[in-house]
Amino acid sequence: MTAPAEARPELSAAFRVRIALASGAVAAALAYPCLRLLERALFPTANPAIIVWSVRSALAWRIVLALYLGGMGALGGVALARRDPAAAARWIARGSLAAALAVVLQAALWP
Amino acid sequence: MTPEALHTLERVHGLVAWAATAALVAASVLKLRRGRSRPASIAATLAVLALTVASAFGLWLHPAYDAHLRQRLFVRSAELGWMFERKHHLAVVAVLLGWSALLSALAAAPLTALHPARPPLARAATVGLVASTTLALVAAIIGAVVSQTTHF
Repeated sequence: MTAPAEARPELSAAFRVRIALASGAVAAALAYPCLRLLERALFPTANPAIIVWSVRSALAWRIVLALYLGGMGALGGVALARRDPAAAARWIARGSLAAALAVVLQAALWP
Repeated sequence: MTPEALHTLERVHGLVAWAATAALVAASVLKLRRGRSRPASIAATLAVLALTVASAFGLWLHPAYDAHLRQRLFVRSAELGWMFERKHHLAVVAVLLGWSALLSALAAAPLTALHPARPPLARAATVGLVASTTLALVAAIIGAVVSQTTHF
């Protein structure tokens, strides 16, 4: 017999939403530098010194795509949190560190 | 937007960004020294909200930067131009990690001290906050340096 939701707060909707959003934010943070690296590798642009204007904003598109991928991360975070909330929390911490290191590396070497 | 409005928005963006960065530093210090305390939680919440507002101003300015400043900055100095691109990357991830930290702390709040998820959630909140603070600080410094040479 499973314990009621009151005895297991990780089953509450509020907990799941918070874990989902936290996981999503970390996934988006990790996705952003990866997207920039892919953009540089697959879609190189001209020297910005000769570009007068661009129709699309690469920054805006990267943010939107990162948030989209973050949404997938949110679903994964909630799925993991249902089975093992402590593991979900550990992966959020690891993901935060990985995202910070990834963006520092990407910004330093391939801005 | 008129040049004067852009100039004002740019100044507001800079001020709010620096205020948010200072708040993040204070929140990180409180979090590291006092752990899970009410002042640390309040400071972290306010800091992340301020960082989000600063980033919103930055996004609002971005089309005008692309249209009026970007080429000028790169012509003046490619090094400064790429430095400013770095600032964008760091700022985006700083905001996301700030929110991750805040939400991890909110998720941990109703859990009892013996709940197995509470320590890793608290750790996730601390890691996210410190990472966000570091990235925001570097972004703010870059913004200040570049704005000395090129601005609206």
